Amino acid sequence: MRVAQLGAWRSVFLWLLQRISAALLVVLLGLHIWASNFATDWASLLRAGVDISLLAVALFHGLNGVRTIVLDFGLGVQARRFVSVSLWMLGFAAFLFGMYGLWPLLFPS
Amino acid sequence: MGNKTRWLLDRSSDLNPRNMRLGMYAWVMQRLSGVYLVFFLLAHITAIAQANFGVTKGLQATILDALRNSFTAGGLSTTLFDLIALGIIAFHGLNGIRIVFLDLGFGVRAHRLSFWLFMAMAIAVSGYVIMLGLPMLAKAT
Repeated sequence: MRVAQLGAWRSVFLWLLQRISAALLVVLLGLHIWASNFATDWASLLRAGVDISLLAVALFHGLNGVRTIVLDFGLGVQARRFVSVSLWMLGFAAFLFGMYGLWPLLFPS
Repeated sequence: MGNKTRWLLDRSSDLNPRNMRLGMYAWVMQRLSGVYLVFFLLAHITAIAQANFGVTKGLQATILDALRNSFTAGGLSTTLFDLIALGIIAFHGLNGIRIVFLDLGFGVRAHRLSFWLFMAMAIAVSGYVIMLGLPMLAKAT
């Protein structure tokens, strides 16, 4: 019973985080599209801050959304764990790769 | 009908088109566009990573260069690719804001009207970004 309650609490927390990250994405994405296409003279530090935040928030929102969809197909406990762990690993790898890609923007030579 | 596809194709399924109304179409489209955008995000991250590290020769460089800035460096096809992504992002984002409002309890009774209002806003946002980009596109080609 306690385990089930714990799982339910985590699901509610992830649901809430999905909404919070959605609101953040609306702001960050607007700044990102503006800064990378229309405002080339922007302070690069601010642009880097937007892009790093966007990288993390978008990856979380996207992969948590995939998790939601996959889990809606009704998987067992082990399969759920496997999906969650896989997506977290993919997310961390993509974040590191994205940071590698943003490096010239962070430290222009 | 196979047992595997009953959840989708059965007459009693919520996802059977005969049982689907506007709100359900919005839900399905939100999920499909979300899946598309995950792939777009991963492609976008890859493109930026490689473009920022200066692949300067060959087809790969052309594609990456175009992806880096769709309005100034892209050909027609990459611009089209980004415009499709822009439209899908606008749909997913505006419909997502609508979902947050619905979750907070605002506009539940008017959810059908609000869907079309938010879709109008999505078209307006896409149009505004395209309008901003057009002079740069004209300059680049």
